Amino acid sequence: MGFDTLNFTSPWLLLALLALPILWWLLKLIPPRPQKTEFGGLYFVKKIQNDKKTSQDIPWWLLLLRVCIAGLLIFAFAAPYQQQSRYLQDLSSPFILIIDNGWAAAPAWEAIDNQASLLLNEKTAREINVVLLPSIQTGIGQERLTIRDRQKALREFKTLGAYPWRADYTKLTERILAFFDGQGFKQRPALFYLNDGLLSPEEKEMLDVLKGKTARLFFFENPQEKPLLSLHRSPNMMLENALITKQSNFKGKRFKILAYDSNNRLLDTQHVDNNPDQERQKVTLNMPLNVMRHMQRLSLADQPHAGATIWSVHNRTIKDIGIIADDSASDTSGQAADYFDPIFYLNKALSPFHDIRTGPAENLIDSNIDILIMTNSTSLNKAILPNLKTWISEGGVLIRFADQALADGRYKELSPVELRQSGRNFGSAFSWQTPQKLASFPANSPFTTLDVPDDVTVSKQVLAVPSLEVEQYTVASLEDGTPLVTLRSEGLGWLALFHTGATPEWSNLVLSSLFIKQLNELIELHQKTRADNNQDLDAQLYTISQRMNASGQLIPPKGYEKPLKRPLDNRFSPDDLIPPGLYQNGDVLYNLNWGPHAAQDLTRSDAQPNIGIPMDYSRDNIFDFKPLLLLIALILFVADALWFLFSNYQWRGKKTLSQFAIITFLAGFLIMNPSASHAQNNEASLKETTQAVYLAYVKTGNTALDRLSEQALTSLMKETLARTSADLGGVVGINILHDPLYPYPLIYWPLSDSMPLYPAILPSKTTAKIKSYFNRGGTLLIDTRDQYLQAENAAYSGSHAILQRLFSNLEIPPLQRLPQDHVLARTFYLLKDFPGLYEKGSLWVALGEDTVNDGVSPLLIGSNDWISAWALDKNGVPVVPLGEQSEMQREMSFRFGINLILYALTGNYKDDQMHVPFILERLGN
Amino acid sequence: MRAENLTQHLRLGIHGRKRAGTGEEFWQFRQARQEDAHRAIDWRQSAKNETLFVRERELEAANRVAFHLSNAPSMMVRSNNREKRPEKFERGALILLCLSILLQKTGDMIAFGNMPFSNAPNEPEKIAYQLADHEKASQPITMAKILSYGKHATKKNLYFLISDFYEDPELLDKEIKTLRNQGHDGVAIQITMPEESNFNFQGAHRFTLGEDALDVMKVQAIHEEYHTLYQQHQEALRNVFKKNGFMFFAHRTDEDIKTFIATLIEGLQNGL
Repeated sequence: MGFDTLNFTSPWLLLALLALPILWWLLKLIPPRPQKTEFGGLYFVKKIQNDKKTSQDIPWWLLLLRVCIAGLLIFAFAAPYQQQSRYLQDLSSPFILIIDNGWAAAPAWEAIDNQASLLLNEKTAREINVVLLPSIQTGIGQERLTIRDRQKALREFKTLGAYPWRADYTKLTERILAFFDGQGFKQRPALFYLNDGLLSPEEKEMLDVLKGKTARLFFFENPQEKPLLSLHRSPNMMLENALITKQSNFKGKRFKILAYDSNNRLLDTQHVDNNPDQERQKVTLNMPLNVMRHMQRLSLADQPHAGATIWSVHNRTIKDIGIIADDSASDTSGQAADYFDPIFYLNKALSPFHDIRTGPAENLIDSNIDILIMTNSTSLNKAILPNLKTWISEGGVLIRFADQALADGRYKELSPVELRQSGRNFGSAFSWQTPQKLASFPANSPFTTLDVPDDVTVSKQVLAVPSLEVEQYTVASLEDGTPLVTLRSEGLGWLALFHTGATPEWSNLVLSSLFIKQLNELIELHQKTRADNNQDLDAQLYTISQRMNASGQLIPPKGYEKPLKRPLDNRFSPDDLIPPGLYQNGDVLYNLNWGPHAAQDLTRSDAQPNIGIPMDYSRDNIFDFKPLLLLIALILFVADALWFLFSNYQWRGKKTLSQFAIITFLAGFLIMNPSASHAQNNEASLKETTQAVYLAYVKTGNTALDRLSEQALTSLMKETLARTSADLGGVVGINILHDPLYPYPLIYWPLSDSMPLYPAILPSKTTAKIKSYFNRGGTLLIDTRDQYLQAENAAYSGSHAILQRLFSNLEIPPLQRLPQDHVLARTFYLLKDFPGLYEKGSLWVALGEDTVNDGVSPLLIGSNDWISAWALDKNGVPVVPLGEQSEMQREMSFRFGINLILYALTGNYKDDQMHVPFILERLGN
Repeated sequence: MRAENLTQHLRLGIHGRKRAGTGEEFWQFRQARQEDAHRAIDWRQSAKNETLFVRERELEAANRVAFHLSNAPSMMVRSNNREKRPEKFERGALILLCLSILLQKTGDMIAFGNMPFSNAPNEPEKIAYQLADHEKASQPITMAKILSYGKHATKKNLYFLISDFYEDPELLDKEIKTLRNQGHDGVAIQITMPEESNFNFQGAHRFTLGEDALDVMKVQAIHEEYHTLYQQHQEALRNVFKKNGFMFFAHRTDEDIKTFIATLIEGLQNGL
């Protein structure tokens, strides 16, 4: 740590240090404010010589103190920071910077970001340019490598992130070599390689090739703070099992596995001890059945990447249910109700939810049925038994009901528990026992979440032979502890038995709503096993429904993904076009997880890379001295103020005290609020905003809203950059009163009830500015964000009133509801409606004057609260939750945003008749 | 109203003094001296005693008493820690009214400034009103200036000059010499505030007086010099009045006014 590594954000401020001697002189000259005294003896005082009167008594240490405060403030606002970056000092320009942003980079992105920023920010004597190359690039049109200045490259770098697949190093090598051939460097450039911590053989091969081509290869080895782990499930594994693959340097004692449900809520955590002997360790989850049933995602704690995440999304779709019936009573539908036929009750219970077929067991099994329900034990003949057993072990669910034959001790095969010879009767004429009620469901039962009704009674049941096992398999029981429903897994399938009949003869259970719920819970057992194990389906195409991001979260697809073909090719590896995520074919969902590939990478990775010049990632974050300096200045200031109070100045009562308090408070606030000054630093200056296209939002002064606006436009900008060739520089918040509007092609103005920055009515100066902005081709989108109110009465909405009041002296062009064929609906995407947080709000545009400003409407007014839909935080997680089908709506909202930006930038370009055939063709599809 | 209250207050003071037994006779008769004419001897009085008494002519002339009170800015200083009134001026006015009431009672012709002389019983009251006007006078002036305006008096007057006399002693000397040459007599009463003689301020002060102001950054540094100057000035004043045969009394506002007036009257009796 030396001073040569000290940098200043605004070094020119240090020039102010020259003013310190002047300050010293001024402090000596300008005395502290004297006390005012009316004095009759002035006649004598006047006679006294002048030099004695001006001699004053500021102690030298106080003078020094004050000059120190000033000096510290100057230093602080010059924002010194220390960084250990001396990488580029003796390099030639340009150098090549490769960012390894495969899946393993996700948990270490901060370190990678830090290192890349150090390289791209480093101050050098000469200008050194860079070729920035991420190992994975998404989007279109960035195939060619270019030499660019480091500030631009830094800006590009900030839009990068890690991706949940592996880079294609062979292709990358080709691209770099082609670039080298094209450039014909006189001097070999240096290469900085920011590795993600894993080094596959292909990667090593590439680096070996590049080493020969470059002057020096700086290999930044490992950004990871913790060894990587992966979590996956091999194809024929049960839901409760998973495999953990460890990087060889993993030393932890245990793993923590987290289970989440579909709403991303943590269901359960489980600790599993590490077995250091195994590189790949099988773990078994011991979680309650209903947790397992709701579980959609498993991940490892402290491993925020796609490789340690298992998605197992299963859908609640309609199932084929077969009810085994004898030929004689084949089809009940359409016939008069037979109240003694169990099939009638089952039909009533299940037909609203599922497809029901009845018929002989052989036929049903052959027709690939999901669930079988057997009410008549006599159907279980010897011929069908082996078939049935195979079917269950392959994932079928058989639900049986007791009947007289079972009670008599016949057809006892295929029962979860061993049954006693005779059943029992309650409440019959010959029994003194009353019918039994239900006990509450045991904790491991699929029925745990259901309520036990009071009025369900059982008067006849079959009993199990008492054994230790019985309790284990019992998922519902009567008050006396005898089982009502028993359940056992057989292979991949399940076998369930209701110990009572499917007619009201034995129990009124079949008449209760509980019965329906119980059946549904049992049917869901099938879905769970099915979704993960449908390996043997024919080759089928699956389309993407959600893709995974680098941290393992599901996000909406980008729109350019290709369908996934199953069964998967052995050599198949996900990439940008077929990313890991959730795929769908009709009702069948398929979770394409990154885990197996991650496990492969972990085992293939070279533990001892020996490439180029090994470098360590800079762990030092940039040390910012500013807060420290400000703090010291504040302490000195307080000391000075205290001196002021208690020195030879007399205590002058409460007024002085309150003045002192206010001054101290203000000074403290100014000094201790570096974030405010930071915010100003972050804000793009006007000079910057005119050098690139910036998206602007109107700052309202409502902090939460402004933050939301910024997040929204930033994520919209990222999406636009990723999907289109529009080149946007950034996002800036403007004050409509003071800031110039002309640099911004599109200004977003969200209205809110509280806009502290603005007066009730815009001053005429501002309206004139807005008007000239309109005339020169700017586009202002005003979002009243109150669609939910418009449904009732728009006139009373707060934002509406604000809109009317605020713009009462602005000449608003005549507006119309957005016509169907407006160009805004097809500048990039073809859209029908423009949802934001709300869907239904209409959008108003200026009445068309095509000749002016390329037909771009200067003013758009809507109420759908788009920013709430656009806003994603820095992890890509939505800030504001949308309603049902949120992800699709969010996606449509982004599409509207992209259309809007392109509309503001390109005008009526797409309105051109030339495009009509193509648009028609696409509409036709 | 303030002036009336002041008068009321004064009358009480006067009554008190009357009861103290101050004889009027002593004001008008004195022992005959050799230069006195026979005509001047009051034989009736002399017959009562063994010595000869003279009804002094001068005393008759001195019965025309003219009061002058300076309203210079330094007189108008409002004290910080006492009531917010021009302290020295008020004290001066009080003494002035006190004397005027006293002299009116003894039949003297009294006047404030250059007003006509009168012995009307309400004359002190009139003077009180005039004092109130005088306090608010738009052009405050020093004693030397006041005196320079009052040279036209023909008869011999007794001048009561009330001020802090923070002004050039030489200028004052010139004016008083003029008065003296015209044959007038005089009594000078100096009113000062304790702050002015003590001068123990500390630290930085902006001293103001009227519209005048002066910053002193470190008052401690000039303490000594101030005290020297102040003493010199007092000495110079004493000399001026002594040289011109004027009586000189000094009063500080933190002293008791009754005691002072008693001292004053005693001094006057002895001196005249």
